[in-house]
Amino acid sequence: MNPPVGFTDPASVASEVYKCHRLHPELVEQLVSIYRTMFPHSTVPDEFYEHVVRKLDDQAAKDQDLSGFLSNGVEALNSQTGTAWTGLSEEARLQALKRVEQTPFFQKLRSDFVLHFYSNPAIWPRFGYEGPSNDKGGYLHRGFNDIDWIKSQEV
Amino acid sequence: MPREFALDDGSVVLIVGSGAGGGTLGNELAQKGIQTLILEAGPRIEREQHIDDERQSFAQLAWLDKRTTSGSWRIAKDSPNFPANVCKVVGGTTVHWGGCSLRFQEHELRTKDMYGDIAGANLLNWPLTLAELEPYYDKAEDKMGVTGTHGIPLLDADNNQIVMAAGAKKVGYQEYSTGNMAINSRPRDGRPATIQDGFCFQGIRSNAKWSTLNTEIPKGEATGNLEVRPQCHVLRIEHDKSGKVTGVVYADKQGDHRRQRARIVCLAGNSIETPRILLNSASSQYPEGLANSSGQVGRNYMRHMSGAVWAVFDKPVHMYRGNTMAGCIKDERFHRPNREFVGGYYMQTLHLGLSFLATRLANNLDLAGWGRQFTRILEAYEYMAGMWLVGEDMPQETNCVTLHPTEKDQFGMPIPNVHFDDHVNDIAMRNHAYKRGAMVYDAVGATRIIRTPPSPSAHNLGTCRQSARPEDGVCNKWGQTHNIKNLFISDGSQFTTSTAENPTLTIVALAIRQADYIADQMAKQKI
Repeated sequence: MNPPVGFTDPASVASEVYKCHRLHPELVEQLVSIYRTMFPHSTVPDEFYEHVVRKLDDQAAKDQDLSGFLSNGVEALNSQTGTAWTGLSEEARLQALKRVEQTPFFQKLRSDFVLHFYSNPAIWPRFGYEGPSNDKGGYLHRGFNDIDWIKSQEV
Repeated sequence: MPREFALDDGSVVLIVGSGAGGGTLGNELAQKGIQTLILEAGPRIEREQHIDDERQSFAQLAWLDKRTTSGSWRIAKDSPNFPANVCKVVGGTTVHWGGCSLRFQEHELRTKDMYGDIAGANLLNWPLTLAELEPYYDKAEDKMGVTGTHGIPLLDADNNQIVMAAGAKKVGYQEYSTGNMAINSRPRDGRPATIQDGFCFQGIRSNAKWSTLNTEIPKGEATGNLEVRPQCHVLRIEHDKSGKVTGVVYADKQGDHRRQRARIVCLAGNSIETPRILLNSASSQYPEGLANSSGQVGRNYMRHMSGAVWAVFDKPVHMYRGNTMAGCIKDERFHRPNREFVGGYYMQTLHLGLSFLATRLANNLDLAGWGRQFTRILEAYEYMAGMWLVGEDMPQETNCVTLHPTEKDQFGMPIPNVHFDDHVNDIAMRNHAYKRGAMVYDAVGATRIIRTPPSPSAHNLGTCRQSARPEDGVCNKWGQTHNIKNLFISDGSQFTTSTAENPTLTIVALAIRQADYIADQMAKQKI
């Protein structure tokens, strides 16, 4: 129904060297995988999901309890599925997440994702959002009224 | 040159807050030759420093000091420590406002007569008439350069408005346009025309939008009669044995407490801080707080009926290009006794960037805030249009700003708690508005409608209301408190009822009018 997300500007994607310092690599890997099920954008590469996990890692530097909170949450998620996360189908992952939807663990993951993923300027071109405009003269000469499927007599 | 007044200069008119009310009042008094000092809690951030990025701008401009909430409103769950989205900078909330500048309707000043007895509503007629306000609306519109008034042309419609207007036409609405906006459509008053930058909520980088930061404050300072002192957080007002106020105590940038003397004190800290300061100024003579013989200080807190409707189309819209709120359908603004609610509302275009839209949609009324459904909507970002719904809400005595019993801020002042329950009238109006908003978009082929609930309040009103009788409210029709002659309410706190209209134009009109009154009363040695 909806148009796919375009790869309009691959050059703008930040190629950050990605490294977490406080969260265990296995935990990082599973958090990225969980995020891909929670917020599936099939054409968006992992690095943008890793960007959010790194924000969690940054927080873990200030919040001593966060690392344990996240690993406990992941452990609880894994224990209720009975199978390793990597062995689960996409549908089974989704159902597992639905069962923990009301937990503080899930809510923390959800709110941090919404906060950090979509506010990353490097992701904006993939969603067709052009971002800052004042230094480019606004949108006055860049399509502020360029809609072509509504004819002027309709307004 | 801007003035600098001494702390012991008891001749000044002292204004708390530099937004629509305080900034305007400060300039108006300064133009009359009156020595005026504005204490602003936030820093001075000039427009060149404003940022075209929603989150960074929010961090730069917003009032982020902790507040608490209670009551059954959704904000208490969704945003418990951030009930109001207002600014803490020189220029106040006019720095991030959208620019909609609408006059009140005649019936809205007499709601008690027009609406009758509504259970749970503390309705009261304003002590003002529209005829008394009209000359000041004229002055305010001229000052602010409101489009569609004084021969100022309307703004050109952007994509978001073209979609909304086409839908409005199809459903049979009559009154829709880019609206009456305090954003220059042509160069005016030394400021340029809009460049349709799309960041009206993020400040005034392009200088096309009216804000007190780029108009009233520099104009007032140029007279040599106005000082704007930033990062001065007023804690309490002091008074003498006769009951007249003598000045304020504030915390400066370093957190040190200072005492500033004044002849007159005018409060314009927005409708949470203004009552907070009055309540925190309780003394043996005024044990319930200043100007509170009626018990109405902090009560009748209103925030407008609000909500938003988002639509997905199968063709591109690019809603983010253009002025954020330059689109308005006025047809539902009237009071129609045959509807299931009293009062009226407007539909106004609203766009958000990807970041704030994601946050808003994560908390919508129609689908889960995660998963495939959610991401599919955001992947259609270019194909979306949006509108805000804004209408009159009912004053209720129990909706109130109070001092927190135990929690204090960084200066030792009790933080405010905001208690709010939706009135059944607010809910009925919102449901009506959601349906009409969806109809507008369905008429032009929306493939999906998503409704979002009220977000932290941009319009905060009514906590120190005007009343004809001292027992019904806090101040008279000049904003002068009933109890203390040299203490004034100069912001949206003085609103007797919310009305359906975005409040800034009326706050400005009331400030111009109040300046005339203060000058007159000073000249007559009455205050």
